[in-house]
Amino acid sequence: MATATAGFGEAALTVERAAREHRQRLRESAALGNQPALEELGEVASECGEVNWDGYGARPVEQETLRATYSLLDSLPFGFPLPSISAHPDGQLTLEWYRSPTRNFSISVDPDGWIHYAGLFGAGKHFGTVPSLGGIPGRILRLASEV
Amino acid sequence: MLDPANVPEVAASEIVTRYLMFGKWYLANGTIKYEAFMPPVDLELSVTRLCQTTDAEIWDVGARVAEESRRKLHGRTDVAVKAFADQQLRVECDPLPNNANHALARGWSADKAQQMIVAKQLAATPGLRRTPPPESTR
Repeated sequence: MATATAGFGEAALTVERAAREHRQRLRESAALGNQPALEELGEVASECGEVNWDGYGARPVEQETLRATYSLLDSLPFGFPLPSISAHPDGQLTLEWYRSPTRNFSISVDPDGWIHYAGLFGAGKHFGTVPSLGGIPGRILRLASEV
Repeated sequence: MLDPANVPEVAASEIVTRYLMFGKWYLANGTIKYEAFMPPVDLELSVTRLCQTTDAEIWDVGARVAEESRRKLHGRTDVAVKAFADQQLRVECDPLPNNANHALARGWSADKAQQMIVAKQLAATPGLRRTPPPESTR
């Protein structure tokens, strides 16, 4: 009985190990999938790292803002369309899913963890502010996917 | 340029220009992105009136602003004052010592999401394009 339990335990461990490796591969491939956006994030943060980066007195992008936006970007589901990255004059970074001037959706996370969003969907529009709670809420992802 | 001693109020029929000094404010095809119209923290968006000016004078002002800011002038986009009014924004004259045509778009909400949707609607104004600077100012 003890042998059987041990055998069962070994099988369970094997399955768990395989599942863990599978999850790790998925995470790595997701990270690779997000790589272009993560690189763009770094470039924008660097270009906007000094005051007046827009010629109109914009605030610089701070490390805390970069970390918050990185977390948001990293939380995108595997295979989700990648946004383009830009910055606002208040020093916040922004992610945008863009199809045309009248069909696009943007989010911006502030250091306090609030996500500000706005989007044009032809004649319709959506905008508001929600807490990030460590990721992008499903409602926001749905709006981004509708672009 | 306008006479600094006699700057008229901004008329509803005027056109103003926004200088583009950040490469992500437009697409390669000339489409303007909403970030070009996001207000600064003081909620006063800087623009320059095109009335009583030549094209060369407008580009000279842009080149000087970019040089003073140590930024590259990527171009400009011309917007009707009516487009701001349609978003419940006011364009008011704000002459500067070296730019009598300077004006400010005021009336922005302090709410970030509202700023974003208004900037997006401004950027969606039909016909809005980037005009690249002439060779002489690059």
